[in-house]
Amino acid sequence: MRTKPTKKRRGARRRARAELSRAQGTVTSSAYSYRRKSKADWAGVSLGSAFNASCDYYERLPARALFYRFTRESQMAVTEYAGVSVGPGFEPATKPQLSPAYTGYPSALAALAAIGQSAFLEFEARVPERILFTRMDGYLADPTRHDEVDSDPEVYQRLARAVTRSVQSRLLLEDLSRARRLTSIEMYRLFLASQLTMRFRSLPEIVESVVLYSDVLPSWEEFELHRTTRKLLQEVADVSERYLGLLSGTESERLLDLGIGWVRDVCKAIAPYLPGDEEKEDALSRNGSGHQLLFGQDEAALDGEEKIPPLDGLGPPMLFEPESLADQVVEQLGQIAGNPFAAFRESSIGPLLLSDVGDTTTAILRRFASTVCRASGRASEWEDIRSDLVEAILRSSAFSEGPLQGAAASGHEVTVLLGDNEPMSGALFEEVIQPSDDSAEYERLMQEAKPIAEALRRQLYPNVEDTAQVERARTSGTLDAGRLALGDVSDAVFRRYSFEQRASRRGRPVLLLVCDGSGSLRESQMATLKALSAAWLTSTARTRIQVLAGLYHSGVFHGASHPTVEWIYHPRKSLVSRSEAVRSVAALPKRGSGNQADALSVAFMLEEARQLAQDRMVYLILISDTEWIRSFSGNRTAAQEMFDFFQTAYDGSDGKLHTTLVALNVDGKTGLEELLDNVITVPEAELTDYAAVAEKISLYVASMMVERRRTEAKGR
Amino acid sequence: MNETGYADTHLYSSPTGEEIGRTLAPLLEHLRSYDAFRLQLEKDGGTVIDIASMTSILNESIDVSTRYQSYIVRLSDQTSLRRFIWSAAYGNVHMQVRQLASGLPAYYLCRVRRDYWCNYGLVVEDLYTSPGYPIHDERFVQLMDLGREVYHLRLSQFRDGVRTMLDNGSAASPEDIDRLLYSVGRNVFDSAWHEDQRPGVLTADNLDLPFFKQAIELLYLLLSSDLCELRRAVTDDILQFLSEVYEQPAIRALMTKLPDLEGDALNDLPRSALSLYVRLSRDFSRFMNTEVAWGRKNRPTPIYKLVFANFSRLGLIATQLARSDAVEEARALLEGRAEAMIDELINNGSA
Repeated sequence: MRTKPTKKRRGARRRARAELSRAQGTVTSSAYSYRRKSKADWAGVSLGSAFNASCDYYERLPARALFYRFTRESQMAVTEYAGVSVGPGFEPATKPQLSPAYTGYPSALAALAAIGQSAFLEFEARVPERILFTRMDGYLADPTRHDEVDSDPEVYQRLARAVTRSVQSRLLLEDLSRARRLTSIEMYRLFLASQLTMRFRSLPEIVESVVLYSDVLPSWEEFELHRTTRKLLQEVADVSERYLGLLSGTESERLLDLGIGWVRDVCKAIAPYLPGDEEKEDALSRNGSGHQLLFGQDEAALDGEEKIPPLDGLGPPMLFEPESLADQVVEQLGQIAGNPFAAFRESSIGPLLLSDVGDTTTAILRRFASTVCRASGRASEWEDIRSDLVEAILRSSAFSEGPLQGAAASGHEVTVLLGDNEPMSGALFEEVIQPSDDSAEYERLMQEAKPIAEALRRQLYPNVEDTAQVERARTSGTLDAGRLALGDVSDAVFRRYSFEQRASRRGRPVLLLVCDGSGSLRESQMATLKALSAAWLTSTARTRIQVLAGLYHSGVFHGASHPTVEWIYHPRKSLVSRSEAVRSVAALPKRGSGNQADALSVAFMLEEARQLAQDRMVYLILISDTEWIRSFSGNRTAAQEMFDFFQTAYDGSDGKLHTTLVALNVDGKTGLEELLDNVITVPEAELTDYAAVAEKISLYVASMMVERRRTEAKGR
Repeated sequence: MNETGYADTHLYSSPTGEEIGRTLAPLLEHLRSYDAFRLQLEKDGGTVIDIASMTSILNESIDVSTRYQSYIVRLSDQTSLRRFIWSAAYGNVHMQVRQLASGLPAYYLCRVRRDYWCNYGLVVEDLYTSPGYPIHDERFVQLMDLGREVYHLRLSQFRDGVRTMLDNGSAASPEDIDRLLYSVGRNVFDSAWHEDQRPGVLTADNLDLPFFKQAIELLYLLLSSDLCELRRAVTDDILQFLSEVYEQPAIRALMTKLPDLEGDALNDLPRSALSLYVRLSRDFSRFMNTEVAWGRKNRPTPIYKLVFANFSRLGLIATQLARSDAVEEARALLEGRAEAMIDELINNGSA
């Protein structure tokens, strides 16, 4: 006799079936019946897939959720270790770091390193009292006097700062290595060690290699190095050996005292090699303690010719890492004896090349550097920054914030039709907002949104579909073809079709909530925006309507400000479920930030909604202070751009676009009343009066109900 | 007929390899001169005149033309290069730029096959590789594809080997070489190679762990491929490839047996592979946790720290590690386990 399986057994069977089907090589997901098997099918989703573009998009999403959860947990762990109490409303002091995940390092290890980087920076931000820079403030103001050395004070101070930075990182690493659950920080150190070129091109790089990574690097005695480099490595290693041995046995509270001695000993060991005060202008060599060593300039380059040392050769180390390639070449070029341009001017190509750059070496080098940057730099702004470029940046900024942080952003090139279908292009970035864990803020937001949500709690958004109506064809004259006596003629001759829009129960319309989050929004406007967004998300939570909600403003990507769309909720991109989307609203800042590109951003979001709607109805609700900003070059004002954009959007929508503008802090006209379906204005006095806003929303609901009844009446 | 299925005279047929070569020739010529000059600057240095000359080489206009259009491209204008290359080969050729340590660009031009049935794109021919272009793992290259860097399988390394293999008195045609590379790419390497294997496989390459490498690839092939499909794809050419061009005795043995396997035995293979994968991962972890004396003071350091900290220069630590008795012992243990595991899968197990 077969018994009905219990719930637990049914679950076990389901799992076993899934496992079996995976083992047999069948794909369990119906959505991807034609997809090849991938590693995720038999090994599950791993952290390494989070930012790996080689993985399927839907594999990256859960991996990303895992990544952000682990990052947050490690940030909480270090905060706790720093002695700060951690509650549910924990706000990290630093953004999640993503840069290691965008390098050529193996993706699983890189993701761990990124978590370690975030944890390290969080710890650094939480323990200002344990920062060596703070403790050594007095010393760093004038290290030459404290150490009684006769080096150039400016050079010596820069050196002392670089050494302090390395020692400080080493001490923090040692401190953190004593905490549990923080192996990712060691992974970050190993990642940084792997990024070293082992060329030891500058003094800080030499110090960093010894102080931070000497225990895991191959012995430099086996490399071919310039004798100055080798000598300096030896000096720094000799001094550091004692401190590295003492590290593990020193209590956390005493680590700073150890660090102070370490910094000063390393600086004093290097001091004899630095240019003296009287040689500041040369910055070349030093005759002291019997050393005849040079920085950044080989002996061969001082033979009176305008010779540039090999760019990739075994040169002596530079004092400090130059900021750009041009600076590097200038540094390597050093001071050229005689007239450097004599030969150049006399050469056949010299006058040709010098004609448009001016006849200075620096001008030639700067032109060279900018050309090289264009040839080897990023091809376009919207692309991911290339892994080799990320690695180069990380090499020069170890243990500090990387170029990629926060939420993973994707770049897009958007083309918008304006006016007479005139195409205008622009680029923007999109990212997904991380939901807030602050329960108090979430509760407060829900409370504020409650009256508005209740006013909205009716399904106002029917889908609309085109239905073909058969009509009898009549000629315009007095002769009715239908009455003609005909033998055997197809009915189609007397038929014609017309298309009517009707409310439909089939298909799921899309509600697109677009929030303007630019810097012009004050705290009260932002509060209303958040309450309205939360209300719309709550009121549609258990309906068949698909919701898409986003905030647009600008963000800094790769060092420049770009228009940005942050998704509060996107069914295909969000890491949270629909019911948790209000938590993402709670994570929005208290006031707006950045400059927005209105037409560009709204166009991009509408396009996303249309792709989701698949020829169904799109209800666009734009919440803005109507302080529009231009997106495109040309003669149009920002308001004209918005007007033209909406007009073109309506023209191309085939009646499947319904737009409502909620104008915050606006008492009069917005200029879009004639064009849009609804305009709700919220004057300044009513901004935080949610009851008044709810009343306006009720009016809106009433008008929508009338509109809906009309549409449904057509459908009967 | 070409690979689109249309006759070559068809207006929209894909350009042949020969046509692509002709179209790209001026650009390749320019790249060669650039790289020769770059190497000179990097190795021997130069003068201000050389710096100015390098600037002009990078900015020099190169006149090129595709089937329908003429272009002017410059090495300093990456957009113009991309536009031309796309037009020259309809997306079948990719150009990747990397910044070298000296700051100067290095170039990699390759022919790529994008197969709907593959997880990875297949690089089937290297058209140009700048000296010093960084390829850390011969099996993979990262190429910028639609704004994102994506791993591609680098099968171009086998091109010469396949040419020799197919050479039966008369020279093998490029189409024949392509066909075999597509076949092994889609049926074998797309499943057997995965970018997550890089730490394991690079360690195996540098620390001489041939059985371990074979075992990893075999397991991935069993777990990621559809064995029914795979056994239909077994051909003499593929078997010959696996013994002459890319020596992989484990996969070869599996593929030799596959056509004769009963259905239940075929079904059992991935199941066994899954448990063996876990076992091999554990063995590899044990190997990576082996402590070796390292550094000036010979402090005990686990191998994994040394591998992860020197990932792009494993060759440098391999020599030092090879001298360690602890490594030798751990290596022998891991190799023995991997060999036994291959044997279990191929001979004693369900197979």
